[in-house]
Amino acid sequence: MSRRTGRGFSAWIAVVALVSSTTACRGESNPDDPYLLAASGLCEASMRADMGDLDGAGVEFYDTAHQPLHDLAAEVSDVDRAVAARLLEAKEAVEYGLDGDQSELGDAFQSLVSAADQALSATGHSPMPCSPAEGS
Amino acid sequence: MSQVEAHEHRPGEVMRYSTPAWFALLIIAAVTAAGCSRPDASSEGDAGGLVAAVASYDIVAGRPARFIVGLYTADQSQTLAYGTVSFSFTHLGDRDGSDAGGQPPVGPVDAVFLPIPGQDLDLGTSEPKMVAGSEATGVYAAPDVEFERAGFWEVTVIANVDHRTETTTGAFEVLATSDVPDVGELAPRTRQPLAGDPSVDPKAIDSRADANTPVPDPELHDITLADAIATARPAMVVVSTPTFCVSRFCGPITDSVHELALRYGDRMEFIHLEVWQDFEANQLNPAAAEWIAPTPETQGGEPWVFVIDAAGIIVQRFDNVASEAELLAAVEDSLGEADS
Repeated sequence: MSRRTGRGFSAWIAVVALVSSTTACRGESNPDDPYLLAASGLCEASMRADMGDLDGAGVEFYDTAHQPLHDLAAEVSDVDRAVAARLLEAKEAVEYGLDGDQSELGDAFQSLVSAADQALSATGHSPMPCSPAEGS
Repeated sequence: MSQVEAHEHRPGEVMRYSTPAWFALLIIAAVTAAGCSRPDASSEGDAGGLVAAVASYDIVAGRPARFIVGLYTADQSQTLAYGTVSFSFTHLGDRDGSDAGGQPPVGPVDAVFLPIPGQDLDLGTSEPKMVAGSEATGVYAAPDVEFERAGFWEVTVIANVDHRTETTTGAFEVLATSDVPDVGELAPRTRQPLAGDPSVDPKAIDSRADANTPVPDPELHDITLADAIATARPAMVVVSTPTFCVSRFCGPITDSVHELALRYGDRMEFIHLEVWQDFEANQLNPAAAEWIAPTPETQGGEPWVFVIDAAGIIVQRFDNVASEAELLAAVEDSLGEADS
């Protein structure tokens, strides 16, 4: 295993451990919640971005969180359009960061984790497994 | 500027319906669910968990049109991409609940993978395969599908994936008349606000703008559509809300139209109409409402792209998804006709 690969593996273990620990720390999650996978993926993407793994953050974001966030926005727009607006604006900021200006990507992910948590709460779903601070 | 209120479903609101309408309401619920892309909003596949989401808007009886369907796993962790699948169509019944199954089936027809813009894919891949969203995203499209009768229909999708046959279904409604300006009609002479208008919130011109971010893609916001038509040049109009889109297609399609504006803007007009005047207040932009007037039944589907000829007639329209190749061909068709 190269040093680079070794560092990546260690980072991966750290991510998994952190996601696991934060999941345990934050409220009860319904294992059948349709957004559980997306929420975990968003936390992981956020932490990868925070560690400088921007490619990994982008893959994780688009593979697990992107479409479900659209779905969540559609759902929450029926009950609270301000929350939906904040969620979509935060998602757009992350996409902008992933596509180009990455200087504020960490903050963008933090805002998105916070907005997603609000949207999940407003629609009665399980909370984000990471808090906004942990997700950044 | 006047405000246009979008129709809104109010949670907890109790409505009474006549008994004959129950069947229609049940079907409407199924169609609404299948038409959007929520995890609980599409039909489960019969095998392998493949789910179909009908992505077409404004399907009209007697009008051949492209029919598009998104296919993905129930947990949305993977999407079907590449190659060709098969669509066949069954009539479920009329809106009033009558004539269930009274129409002959349509198809089967081949449907090819149509990627959303902005991806660099090898479309020579012949077989459909399940992929992550970061690898490929798009829908399957069958050209010129025609339904003789309005009412509720179901598409059955058959795909050969990894030497298995996957089958899934999705319900949708065929309308008697179009809710959206159609091919052959005069384009609305829309006078939308332009970038820099001090009386208009920049966000109402492009939802990506705000007090600190100028209106992006200024080439799409420098002439009203009415004035563009008056120049007797062809025009391409994208009606979309890049930030507040509830599908994943608005941003890429707006970007594609902007790219075309940079290449062909000296010979053709390119215009973006932002959907929302105020998303939070549920107020549509009056300019966009001239094109897509959401109702509880149509769900206000967007994005749309319209192509208008030099005489101001709509000559093509694309609902929800349009590939870069489709848009480029539409531009070249328009310029070819304009030059001839």
